[in-house]
Amino acid sequence: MTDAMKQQNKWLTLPGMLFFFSAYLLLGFKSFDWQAFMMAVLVPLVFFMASAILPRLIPADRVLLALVNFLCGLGILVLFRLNPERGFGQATNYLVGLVGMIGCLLVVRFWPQIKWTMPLIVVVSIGLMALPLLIGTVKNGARAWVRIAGVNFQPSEIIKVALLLSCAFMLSRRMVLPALAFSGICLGLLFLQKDLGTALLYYAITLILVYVSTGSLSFLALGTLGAGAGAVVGYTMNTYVQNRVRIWQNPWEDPYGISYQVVQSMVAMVNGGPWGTGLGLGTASVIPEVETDFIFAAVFHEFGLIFGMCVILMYLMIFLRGVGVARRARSRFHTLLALGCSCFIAIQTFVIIGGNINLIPLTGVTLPFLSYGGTSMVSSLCIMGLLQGVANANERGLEEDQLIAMLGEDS
Amino acid sequence: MAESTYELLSMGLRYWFVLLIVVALLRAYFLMRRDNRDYRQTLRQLPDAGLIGEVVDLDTGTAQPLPREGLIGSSRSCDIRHPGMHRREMEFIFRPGFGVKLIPVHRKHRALLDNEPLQKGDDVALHGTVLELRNARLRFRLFAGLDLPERQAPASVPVQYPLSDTVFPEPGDHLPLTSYPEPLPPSPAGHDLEMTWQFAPLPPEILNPPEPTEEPRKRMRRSLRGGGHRHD
Repeated sequence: MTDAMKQQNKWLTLPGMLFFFSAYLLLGFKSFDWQAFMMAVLVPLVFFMASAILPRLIPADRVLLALVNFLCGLGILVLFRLNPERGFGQATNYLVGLVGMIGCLLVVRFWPQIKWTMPLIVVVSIGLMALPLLIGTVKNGARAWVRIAGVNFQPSEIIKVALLLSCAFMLSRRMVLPALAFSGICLGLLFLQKDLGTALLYYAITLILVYVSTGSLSFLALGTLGAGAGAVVGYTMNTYVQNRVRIWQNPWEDPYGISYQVVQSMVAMVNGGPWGTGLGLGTASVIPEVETDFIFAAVFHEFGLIFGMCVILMYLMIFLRGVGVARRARSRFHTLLALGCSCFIAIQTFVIIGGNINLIPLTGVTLPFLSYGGTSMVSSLCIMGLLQGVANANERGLEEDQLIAMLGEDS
Repeated sequence: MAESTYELLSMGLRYWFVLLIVVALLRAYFLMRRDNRDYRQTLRQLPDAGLIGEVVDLDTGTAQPLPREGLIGSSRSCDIRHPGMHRREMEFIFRPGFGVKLIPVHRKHRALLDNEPLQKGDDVALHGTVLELRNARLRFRLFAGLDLPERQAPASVPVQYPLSDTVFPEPGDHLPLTSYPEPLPPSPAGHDLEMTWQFAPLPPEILNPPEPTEEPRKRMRRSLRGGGHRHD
């Protein structure tokens, strides 16, 4: 590694390490909690290893990795502050997610050798997606959770990765109908589970990928009309969708009833002001579902508006970087995969932050990398792994081009 | 720690946290910008990055850059376009060590590869291969340095001479395909159009064709486009 690269790595990881060290130290001094002091050492160490050491072992995009690791670390910090047990749980999820990320990077790397597994992936995905309808448990109105061998998980989160891989693969081969059929089956099952937030994400991603691969404006128009029709059907058939729209139109209509969550979230964000209330001094725990759907409100409350805007900018940079990776991709499969991954993260972030600030009706999706949830964290990191895999392939492609140019000059 | 001390410390550290996230964000932004700049610079040095050669329309002499994978057809979204074809006629994927694999979209459409009908699934174009699709005749010209096997002349059908892209035009006509014009001037956008890569050598039966017999000479309507420093 050259001195310049070392310097770049240092300035990319040092602020994050200092941030986590000082934040956990502060929480430790609050009540001389040894767990916080332990985290003050461990989290910066893991952050450094994941952001600076990992790209040396497995070639990956350092900027993407540093941004994602910072957001994951921030999620662990906020959860630790709200409930230390959840913080430790999320840290474990993060470590599992890192393994998943490396696995997905390798999947993209060795895709030509393992692409024959695609029909298997599709069949297993549909089976997994149907599982909540058979043995699922209802949580927040959606039958999206499954408990197997003592482990709770949300199949729709795992199938995100399969959807991206399969849609990118099929559409890269111009197999539009099979891709639409797979996505349609997943959407139908999500509707039956009443997991409309995830269904929205699946629909948007399929629409974007099909439009990008076919370039058909009529399909885009048809898809948008279909989304409108689906929204109308969803609105008329489900009372809770009607409630969500009512809350969105006027949250102050019933601030202690159905709008309680959104109103508390907005109050918390306003109370935070530009600089926040200070870490450990906030009262964000009064917001229901603060650890999952409203974690952004907690960040905004304790760290302030400027910090919250920086977090949004980080998501924006991840999206732009992902689009850049897609633009540099050498194959149609890689382009669609990278674009799908970055759009997935961007749309999910927009949907949940928009719901938190009442820009759009609230939907029950998690904020990638920040919200508590093992399946969500692992799937988000797996999606980043796919993106890293494409970035890795781009690097190899450029090296190959340089080699060809050299060989061409010699011949 | 006393509550008031903690409060003071925590409120003071708010600015520190904002400073750190702003530094991290700015650092990431500048790294992204530098990386984009470096990438653009590399692309300027390697204008053919991502390409594996070109496809020459033997009737018009026009050449189109050949990416690693894509579509041949008349549609706007096709990578190799020809007005006389179906919207999406054929897919191609470059396979290192094998060549450009050709997969017809419509099996019933007439397609010949070096005068032989396409076989299902194992049709590979190499440097110099001529693909006939509908009324179009396209020659694949691949860069040297690609991991490719040597092209063999088709055994079953002898090569017909003279090949239309090796005959010389009448005086005043455009240049033939075997010689190339001077490099084009830089484009207004400042991109250097000069090729950095060399094409692979053509097989000897194309490079040194026997003397034409009674076959009438065909004319090219347009000259080959593109920069200089290309050698077959």
